[in-house]
Amino acid sequence: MPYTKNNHDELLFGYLLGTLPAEEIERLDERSVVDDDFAVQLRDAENDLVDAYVRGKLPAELAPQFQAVYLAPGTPQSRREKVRFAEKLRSIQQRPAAATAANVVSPDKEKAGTSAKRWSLFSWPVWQPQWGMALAALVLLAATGYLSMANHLLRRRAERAEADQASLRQKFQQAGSIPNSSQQENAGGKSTRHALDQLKIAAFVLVPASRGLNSLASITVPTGTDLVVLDLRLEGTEFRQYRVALQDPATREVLWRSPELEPQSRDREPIVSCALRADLLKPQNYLLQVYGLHADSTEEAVSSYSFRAKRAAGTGSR
Amino acid sequence: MEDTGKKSTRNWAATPSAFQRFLDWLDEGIPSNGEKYLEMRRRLVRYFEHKNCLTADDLADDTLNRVTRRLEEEGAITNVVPAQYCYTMAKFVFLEYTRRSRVEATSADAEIESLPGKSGNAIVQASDSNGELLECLEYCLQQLTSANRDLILEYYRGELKEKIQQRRQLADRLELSANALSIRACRIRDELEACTRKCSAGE
Repeated sequence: MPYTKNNHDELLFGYLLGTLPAEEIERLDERSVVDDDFAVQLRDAENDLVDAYVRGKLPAELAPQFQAVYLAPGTPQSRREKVRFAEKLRSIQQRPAAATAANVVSPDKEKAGTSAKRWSLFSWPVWQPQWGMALAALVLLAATGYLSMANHLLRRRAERAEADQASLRQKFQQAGSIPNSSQQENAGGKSTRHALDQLKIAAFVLVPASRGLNSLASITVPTGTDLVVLDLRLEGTEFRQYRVALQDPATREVLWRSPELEPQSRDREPIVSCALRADLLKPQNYLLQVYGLHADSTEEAVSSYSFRAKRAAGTGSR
Repeated sequence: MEDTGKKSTRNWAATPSAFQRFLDWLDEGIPSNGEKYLEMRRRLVRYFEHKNCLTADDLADDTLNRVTRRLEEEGAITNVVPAQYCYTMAKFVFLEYTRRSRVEATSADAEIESLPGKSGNAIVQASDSNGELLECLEYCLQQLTSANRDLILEYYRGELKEKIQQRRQLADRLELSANALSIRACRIRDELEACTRKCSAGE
């Protein structure tokens, strides 16, 4: 067929016009849904087919078949609309560029007032400054979105730190390390809030040891830090809850265990986030073991994180 | 594949969590922000249109609804790729549709306009809404970004031989592969068609 680019287009046009054998049509029906590349080619081919018809470029022997498939009574209305659309698009394309801009007529809507100005302003070549401004606006929008998300995550982390602070306070009380006046503080609640406001937090991200990095991760805890927040990247999220245990790798002694933690998402990566008292971390190596919790509360080790804790220069305690 | 409880299936509505599970299953581990769902729906609509179904949109939605329900009932569908499963379900929905069409009176025929038949490459004379359609198309073109507007007008300009060369040059200029350019042009055209349709319907 003289109008086609190649045999593949013949196949596509034959499929669209229903001139292929039934088995072939069924095979292509399936490809049109399942095969990504074929689906794109088919959409393109259909548009070209319809355009060829409205431009009078379809061979005469195919026109009746086209009309039967796209225009006859009983065919889906969307097909007839497709042909009408192609006709109107062609009429716009045939106008000279200046006439096209000048003849733009819009229905009576608010945006129409600035349409001519917008058209002339943005009809310049792509490397004009307007594109730079548009790009800057996009970057600003993306940054705003990112900051909003980061803010939300920080708020959640602060809430978790607050819960951990309450738990820490309880442990301190149990250990008798808080003076009697703190009992009045807890009853009042105001001093607790004041203490939380002054909480110093250091946050770090750790990746599993299985990610092939030979060097030991290192975290440096600044002087005066109260709480260390660790975001542990997971390899997957097959569990609804996790627990983290801090171990001395030399003795395997468990130094600290987290409560049940729910996985979160950070930069499209799944993580669990835990917070522990900074004074738990001495300048030495540690192993963090993450366990997935089954419904019956049994634990299954899922990943481990090795790191070396360091203290910033100066005294490390409050 | 059999779909039991046809009446209840057609009336079944997906919960937000069921729908999200369906989206995640379609995504196959790579989040697409719903793009895969939209693309699958688009393909199913075209499939049903190609089968001359008058309610292609409804049938596509019915298909996806049934897949969502099956996924919710069975917890997982793991032995087949999502697109293949959707196609298989679509075939089943189409068979049901043809059986229904045979027994029901095709009342939709009464809604179909008949166009004047012309031989050869006739230009379609739609109706007295011709001018309105052109106005709507012009309006909808304005709603595109200037880059998309230029792309769509240039992509479909010219006759077949020069069109091929033109598209190649356009792809080079935009630093896109031919496939990517085709996808973008088709998407813009679909948007334009939908906008024009809404506008001429007075929405």
